[in-house]
Amino acid sequence: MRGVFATILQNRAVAEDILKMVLRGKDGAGLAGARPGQFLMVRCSDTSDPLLRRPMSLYDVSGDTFSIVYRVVGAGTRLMAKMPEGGEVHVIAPLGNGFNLPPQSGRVALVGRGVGAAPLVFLAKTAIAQGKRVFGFISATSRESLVGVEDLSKMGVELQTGVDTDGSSTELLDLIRERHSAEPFDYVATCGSRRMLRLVQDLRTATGVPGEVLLETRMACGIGVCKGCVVMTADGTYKKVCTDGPVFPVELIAG
Amino acid sequence: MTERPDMSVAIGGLKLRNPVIAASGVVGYGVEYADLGVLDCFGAIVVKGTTLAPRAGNPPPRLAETPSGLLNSVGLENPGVDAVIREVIPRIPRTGARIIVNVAGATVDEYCRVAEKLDRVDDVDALEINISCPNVRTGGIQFGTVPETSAALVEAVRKCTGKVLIVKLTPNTGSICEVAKAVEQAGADAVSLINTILGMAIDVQSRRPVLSTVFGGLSGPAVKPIALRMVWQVSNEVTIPVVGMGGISEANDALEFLMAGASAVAVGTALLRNPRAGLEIVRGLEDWLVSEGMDDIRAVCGSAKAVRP
Ligand SMILES: Cc1cc2nc3c(=O)[nH]c(=O)nc-3n(C[C@H](O)[C@H](O)[C@H](O)COP(=O)(O)OP(=O)(O)OC[C@H]3O[C@@H](n4cnc5c(N)ncnc54)[C@H](O)[C@@H]3O)c2cc1C
Ligand SMILES: Cc1cc2nc3c(=O)[nH]c(=O)nc-3n(C[C@H](O)[C@H](O)[C@H](O)COP(=O)(O)O)c2cc1C
Ligand code: FES
Repeated sequence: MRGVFATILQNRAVAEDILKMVLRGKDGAGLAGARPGQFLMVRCSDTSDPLLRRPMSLYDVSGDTFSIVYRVVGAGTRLMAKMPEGGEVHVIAPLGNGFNLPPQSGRVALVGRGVGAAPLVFLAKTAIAQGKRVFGFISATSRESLVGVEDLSKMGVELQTGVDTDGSSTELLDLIRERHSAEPFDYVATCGSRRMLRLVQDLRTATGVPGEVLLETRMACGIGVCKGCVVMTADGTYKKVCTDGPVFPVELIAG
Repeated sequence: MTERPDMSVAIGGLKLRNPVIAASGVVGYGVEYADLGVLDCFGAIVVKGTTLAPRAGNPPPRLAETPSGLLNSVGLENPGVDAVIREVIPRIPRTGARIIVNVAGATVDEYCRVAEKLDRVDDVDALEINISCPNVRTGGIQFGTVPETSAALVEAVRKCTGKVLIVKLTPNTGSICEVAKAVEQAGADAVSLINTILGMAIDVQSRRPVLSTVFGGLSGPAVKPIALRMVWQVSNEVTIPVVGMGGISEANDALEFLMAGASAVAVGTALLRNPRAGLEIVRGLEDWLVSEGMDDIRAVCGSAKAVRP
């Protein structure tokens, strides 16, 4: 983990209200060793408003560059969207624990909704590099707001997409169940939707397939000091999303 | 090399190498920031509020950002004093920064028992008695809002420890000066202020308060003018040292608090957005002294109060 100023190499729309920011650390050291599911805390103003950094998952790490894909939802991300290419931000990265692809897994399913697909793209890249077969199930409220599908299919991920406005993703969820019963996945990762999380939890309960979820909560520090980001877990204790997560085994999280 | 100015200050009997302290609750247990290499600059670090038994803290959401401010309702989540002594304090990197433990509780007895236990720990240099946490219903807040109960608490804790005793005051009272005078009388070696200011935020979409506890404590630049005013007032009323805090983000803010009468300053929320804030403030203060031709930081304390010719 380190704090570094980074140059914005690219900051462009990749879907509706969703931008991709490609960064290069000014110290030139890149983020070698960063794992899918880890995140960074980005600060993009010198003033005190917005006050806090914003947590963003790593979308890709490649050589000395790294990228995030973010949805414009409020003041902080609006400011990020206005940052010029060539400008700079300050990041603390990499943070948190990444996904844990079981070494012996051959068939990996990635289940994401909206911008929740962002961290799954980095995970797909890693899984494919390890020779695994990767199945992507990605949904969004509209075709225009699907995230990562182009990059995923370029990598050779076997992709299914779904579009629905209410978050039900019924057809996609049915499809995952069908695929899993025809030929089981041996690892499932999810992010971005409660319903998808519940499905992965159900699969885990019914068939024992290990599943992990990347959680998002409000954060102030991202490094475990403020205790602001907690979730209640199945064992009745609060866990910090930033340093205990953001990736958790699905059975640990209330559906 | 030119001579650097003398940055050391004293809080009661406790000598700090410089007047910049990492505030309670924002450096965790000090180990986390070590990775970022930004801890060794401080004069002291204050460990998160510690209670007798472990506390789980409040349900999420615990954070809400407001204009230049942060509302939190963490609620003194901590593993309890025994675990802090056994597991936390030994892990704090010893960098020359003093270690102060922030003590909280629900009853006089609880404060006393925590203080007794910490009194026996060599690595603990001072205790900061938190009579002011707004996030625990039974918490110190009743103590900290009333001069008489504050004094009774401090008197009792004073008997349990020979360590330097700093009492942390709440701004959520109409009588902060009276409380300060009362705890001075009761044996406090110093007072620190301010803790967070009670506030709230509402999510208009869901029509619900953002924080699970409805109210939380406001910190950050938004509170600075209020904090500064209180430091000015309290330092007029007591003779013990005052540790000033509330929204300090850069050297200039720290100078304002020192000039208002603080002997030392603490930095909290600013570290969340800028982990290097402590380092930058220490350097900034030194540079300022040099540029003013001054050789001792203590000369800044209260200097804005000097009668002008
Ligand atoms: C580990 C982690 C990884 C993340 N990765 C990504 C990513 O890759 N791409 C991306 O677009 N976003 C990601 N997020 C979410 C992102 O951090 C927030 O959307 C962002 O902080 C919002 O900032 P803002 O100032 O634009 O909005 P704000 O003004 O802060 O908030 C806008 C709205 O979103 C709500 N909100 C903000 N943050 C959260 C949150 N964490 N959980 C629930 N509601 C929230 C607020 O209540 C408000 O209604 C991630 C969050 C975490 C914790
Ligand atoms: C997340 C968070 C946790 C805090 N926890 C404590 C605590 O445990 N004990 C305490 O006395 N003060 C606590 N505080 C208050 C700070 O120490 C400080 O008094 C206050 O935030 C004002 O300073 P600032 O504006 O520089 O943050 C906490 C503040 C924050 C933001
Ligand atoms: S964001 Fe501060 S502890 Fe997780």
